[in-house]
Amino acid sequence: MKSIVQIIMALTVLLLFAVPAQSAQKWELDKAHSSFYFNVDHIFSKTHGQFNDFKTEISFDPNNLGESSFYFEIAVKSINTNITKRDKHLQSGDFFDAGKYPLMTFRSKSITDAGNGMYQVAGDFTVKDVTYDLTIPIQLVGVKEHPTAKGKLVAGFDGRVTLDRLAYKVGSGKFYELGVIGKDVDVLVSLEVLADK
Amino acid sequence: MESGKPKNRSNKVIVAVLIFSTLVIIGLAASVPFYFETTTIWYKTGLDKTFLRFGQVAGMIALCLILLQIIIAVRGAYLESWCGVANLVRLHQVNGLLICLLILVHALLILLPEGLNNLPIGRKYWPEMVGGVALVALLATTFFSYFREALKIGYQRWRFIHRPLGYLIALAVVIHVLFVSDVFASGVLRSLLVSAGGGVSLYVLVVKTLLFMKK
Ligand code: HEM
Repeated sequence: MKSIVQIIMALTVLLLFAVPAQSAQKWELDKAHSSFYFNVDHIFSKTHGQFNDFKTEISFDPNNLGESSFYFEIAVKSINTNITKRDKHLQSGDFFDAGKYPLMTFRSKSITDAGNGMYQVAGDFTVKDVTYDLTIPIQLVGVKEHPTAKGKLVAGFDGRVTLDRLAYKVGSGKFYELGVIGKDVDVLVSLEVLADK
Repeated sequence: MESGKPKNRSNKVIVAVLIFSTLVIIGLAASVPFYFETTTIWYKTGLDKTFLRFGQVAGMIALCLILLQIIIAVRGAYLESWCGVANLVRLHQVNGLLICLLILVHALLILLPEGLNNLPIGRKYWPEMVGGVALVALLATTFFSYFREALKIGYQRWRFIHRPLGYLIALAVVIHVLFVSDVFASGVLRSLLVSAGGGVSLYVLVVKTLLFMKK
């Protein structure tokens, strides 16, 4: 009986003082070399744009996917399609309603290795204050010593996903029905992130 | 200084021609948003489209009246003899109020379709912001002109600010229109507006030079 008590006590002490599980490497955004790009059909052509203002919180270790995570926060007002009037229109109630819903966010819940540097990042995508399940296939393009910034590691991520904007209520569908603006938006999340070596 | 009503019959004819030509120019300007559609109009539907269109009409009329306002303010000997100084001063005052009303309607109707919580603020919206500055300056200068005496502001002091501000507002409005609207970005409308701005500037220069030489 005495030995059972001793074992339980020893286990308790071990649990209390156990070293917390190794957390995944944190990566800081290199904003100058990252962006959230998109393109969408316009009658016959493709209109390209990007969001200029965003934040990321990235912890990533391919050997510790359980502790890895991605968080993206995009300021809708920063939409840029090179034509200011179009940007204003995209920010209006006809599309993003940026005055009312200033942010879009994505927070990962699980990451699975899909092989060949591809990861299926599943999470919550919040747009116009409604949260949807979304899985973004993200490729780890590479990790290496930064060629110019001494003592830094650089990693690259490319996430590509096609979103049906109407499913997320970005537009009522009137421009789609008119055959003017497509509903499928190709999104490219292109990130360069840095960490101390 | 000559004052009062136009004196003789030929003056009345000239004034009638001037008023008629001004109304024709304003009418033509007001029709611009219907004949030269901006791309913004293409992407508006229903009430938003109507708001935007009439906002543009109000802006076009205000633009004409602002340029006219400079001519009325500068006057010149011929204009004074044809119309009478008192009439020109009265017209300048009424026109000032009308311009304020029109630009408020313009700003409101143009901003409503994109949402009043989605204002064009920031460096990339500088042409709209120039319009905003012109609007505030116009409202302020009209307010101080109407309530100058009640506010106990001396005439010379008021005039010292009112005159340069008037020219600056007109300049700001021309810049606003040339850079904010895609139909004024090139072509006939741009040439017309640049010519109109140049014409008014030339008129001011000639009248001021003649006045200076007379002194
Ligand atoms: C002094 C006051 C102003 C005058 C005289 C004026 C006049 C004009 C004129 C003539 C146009 C061109 C209309 C057309 O394309 O047919 C225009 C366009 C425009 N104005 Fe103003 N404006 C003034 C102030 C403002 C203000 C305060 C704003 C608000 C920010 C504003 C926003 C715009 C916008 C966004 C356009 C482009 C409309 C479009 O292309 O859809 N303006 N303005």
